[in-house]
Amino acid sequence: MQTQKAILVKTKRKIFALHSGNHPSIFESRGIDFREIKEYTFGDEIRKINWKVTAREQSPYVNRFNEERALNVLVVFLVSGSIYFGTQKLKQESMAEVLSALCFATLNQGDYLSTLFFSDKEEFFHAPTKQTGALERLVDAALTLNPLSKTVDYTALNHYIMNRIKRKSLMFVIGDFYGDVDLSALTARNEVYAIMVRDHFEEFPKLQGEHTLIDPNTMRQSSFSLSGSQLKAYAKKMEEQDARTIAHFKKHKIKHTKLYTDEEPYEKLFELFRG
Amino acid sequence: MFSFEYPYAFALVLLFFAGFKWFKMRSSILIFPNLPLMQQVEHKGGYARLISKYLAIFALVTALASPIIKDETIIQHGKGYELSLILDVSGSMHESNKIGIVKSIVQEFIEARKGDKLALSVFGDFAYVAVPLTFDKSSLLDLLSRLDAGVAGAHQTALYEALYLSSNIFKTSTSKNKIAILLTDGMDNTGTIPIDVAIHTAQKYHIKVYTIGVGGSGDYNPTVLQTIAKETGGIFFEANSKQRLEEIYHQIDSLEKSEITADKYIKKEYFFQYFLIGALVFMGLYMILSNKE
Repeated sequence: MQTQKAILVKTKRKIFALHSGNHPSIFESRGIDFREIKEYTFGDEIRKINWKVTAREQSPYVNRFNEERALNVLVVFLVSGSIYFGTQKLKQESMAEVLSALCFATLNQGDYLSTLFFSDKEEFFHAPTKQTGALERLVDAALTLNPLSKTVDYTALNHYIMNRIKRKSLMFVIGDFYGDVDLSALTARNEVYAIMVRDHFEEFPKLQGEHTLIDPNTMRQSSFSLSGSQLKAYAKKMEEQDARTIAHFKKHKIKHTKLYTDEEPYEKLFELFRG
Repeated sequence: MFSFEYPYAFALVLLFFAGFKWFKMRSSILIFPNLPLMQQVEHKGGYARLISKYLAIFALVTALASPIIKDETIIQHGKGYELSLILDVSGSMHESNKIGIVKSIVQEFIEARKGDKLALSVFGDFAYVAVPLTFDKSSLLDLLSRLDAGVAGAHQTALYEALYLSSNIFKTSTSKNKIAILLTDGMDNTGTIPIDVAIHTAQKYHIKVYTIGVGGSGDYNPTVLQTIAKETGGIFFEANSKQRLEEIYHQIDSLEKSEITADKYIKKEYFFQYFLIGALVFMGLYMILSNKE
C-alpha cells in the first residue's frame, strides 16, 4: 500500500506538471463565472464596465459574474467493503489518490473543502476548511479506514446530504458504485461529479472452478463453482448494472468518469472537468 | 440376494460430507466485490456440475462397498452333498403314529440341510421316487407333508426295491458325497429286487447308506439293515422312541455336516465395475463442465 506521503507527492507533482504556471486548478472554468451583461445602474462597480458593449450601444453596460468566488467543494468518499479489492492496487488506494487530487486542487485554489466518508452512516466528516494542512489528515483517513463489512446506503446518503449540507456545493462522489446507485437528491441544489473506481479483474473475473468467495460488504462466505459461460453472464450483468448507473447519472446531469486501479487518475480527472 | 460385500465403505460418504463442510480448499478463498450479482448468475447453472460431482463420489463409494448378488443355493457340481431320503410308508407306519413322528423329524432334517441337493423316495407295496435330487426345498417339504402311510400300498414293504430305485437317481450325479438315509419299520417281503442287487447298485454309485430301523425288535430285520450299512460305509441305527429317532437324524446331520459347510459354495456376482465406469463418466463430465469456456 502506498503511504499517504507518496500519494501527496505524486498528486502535487502531477497536478503541477499538467498545469504549468501558477494555476494548479482543475476547475478553471468554474469560480468567477461570467453570467450576463446588464445595463449600468447606480452603485455598480465601474471596474466591471464592458467597454466594447458600452461603445456599441452608446450607454454603459457592465459584466455580471456569479457572486461567490470561493466555492464550496464537498468530496464524498463512499465506503463499502468492496473497495478492499484490487489486483494492481486496492480500489481504496486509487480512491485515496483521487481524493488527494481533488482536495489538493480545491485547497490550492482557496476554495472551501468539506470531506465526507460515508457508508450507510457517516464514517468521518471533515468540516469546511481552507487550510492546506487538512490534506494529510484526509488522505490518511482514506488510506487507513477499514471498509470491510460496510455497505453504501444511497438513501441514507441522500438524507444525510439534504440535512447536513446546506450550502450549494460542488460535489465529487468517489466510489465503486455497485448496487442501486441513487444520487438524485444530491443533484437538486448541487453540481455533482461521480468518479467510479474499478478493477479490471472484477469486471471480467477469471474465476473458473470452485472458489470460496467472501462478500466484503457482509464478510459472508459462500462457495461457488463457476464455469466460463457463467462468468461471461456475470460480466454481462455487470455491464447492465453499470449501464443503469450511467443512465441514472445522465438523467440527473451528473458528470462521471471511470478509473481503473492500474492507471493514474489525473488525466481522466482533467478530462472530466474540462469536458 | 442383493447385498454389499463391504457396506462400511459407505462411511466414506460421511467423511466426504464432513470434509466438504469443515475442510474447504484454503487456497481459493478470496474477497470478491459485488457478490450478490455473482449469486444471481450462479443459480442459473452449475447444478449439473455439482450433481456430477456428487454422483461420481457416490458411485466410487458404492464401487468400494462392492455390491454383489449372492446366490447361496447354486452349488457347483461335484462339490455339494446329495442326500436321498428313503421313507417307509407301508401300512404298519400307522401304528402309534410313527409316520407323523418321522415326517416331523425328517422335515426338521431337511430344513437344517442348507445347500444340499435332496431327494425323497417312499416305499410300501412298491417303491417310487417322490422327488428326484433338487435344491427346491419348498416343494420337497410340500410333498413330504402330503405323505401318509399307505400311499404306496399298505400291505407290503418293498425295501430293496426302494434302495435300488433311489440309488439309481444318482446315476448322473457328479457329486462326491452321496448319502442315502433309509428308514423302515419292516422287512422286505415283496422280493422284486434281490438284496445283493440293491447293495451292489448303491456301491456302484458310491452311496453311503445310513439305515434306521424303527419300532420294536422283530419289526425289522437288523441283520439286513446292518449289512446294507456296512457294505456301503454307512451306519445302522435302531430307534424305539421319538427321542432316539431325533438323535439319530441329528447324528447323521452332524456326521456329514462339517464337510458340507466347508463345501458350501456361494456364487457372487460382482457389480462394482459398472459403478466404477459410472464414476469415471461422472468425473469426466465434471472435468468437462469445470473447464468449459
